[in-house]
Amino acid sequence: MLDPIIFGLIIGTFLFCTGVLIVIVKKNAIFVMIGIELMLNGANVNLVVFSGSDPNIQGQLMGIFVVVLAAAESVVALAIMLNIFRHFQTLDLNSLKKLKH
Amino acid sequence: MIEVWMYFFGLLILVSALTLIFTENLIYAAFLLALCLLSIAGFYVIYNASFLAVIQILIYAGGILILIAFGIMLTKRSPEGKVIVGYHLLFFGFLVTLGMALLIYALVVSSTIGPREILQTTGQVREIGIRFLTQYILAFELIAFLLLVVLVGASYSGKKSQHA
Repeated sequence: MLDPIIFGLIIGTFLFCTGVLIVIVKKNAIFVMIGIELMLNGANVNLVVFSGSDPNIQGQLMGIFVVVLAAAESVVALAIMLNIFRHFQTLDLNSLKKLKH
Repeated sequence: MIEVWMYFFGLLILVSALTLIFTENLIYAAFLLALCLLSIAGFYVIYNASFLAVIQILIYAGGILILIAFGIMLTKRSPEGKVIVGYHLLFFGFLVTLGMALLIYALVVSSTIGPREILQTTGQVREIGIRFLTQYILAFELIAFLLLVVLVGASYSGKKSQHA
């Protein structure tokens, strides 16, 4: 039986590393965005796990800020992606090489 | 009993994230991300963060996931009619990730945190509200301002292109 803190930290590590792998390996830009969400969630799991034994829940407060920042990041990333798709007609990261048109 | 739920949600997170690596279908990926985020919300409840769990369901599963689905629908087809999925840098990616995972895992296992009990407190929403408006008031206002900037910036850069 694992200690709950250690178990939570392992889950957080796993989520973060999965996010990094998806960001590196996938070709589609939307998959990369999903990977970034997973990385942010891994960081959040770590904060929450440490906040679980803390009487003045500071980790949870930090986690709320992380969620808001993730929402802001995904909105801006999606707007940029729509513009890229409108311009280049693709989201393949390997074919986006030109900075100007 | 609470350990059973902990392992259950942990297993759900593990399975959905691993399937997310290997799927090539974008719609499946969106639903797997939904499953992953909802199980993370369940995980938060076990670790005494029920307010953050509600926020997670509302914002992630309700907002960000809809955004991602919207992005998938709007960008799916290229003119040749095929969707770009696939992998590159496979060897390098697995190498880097495995090394990083082993490093963090060794750090976690060798840490001297020691077994602590997870608290089960009530009245968290009151506590969070008081702290947001006293101790963290600067961060709270800054993040409100950031949301305003993001709203304006996204609606400006998302409209039809300015030239052409």
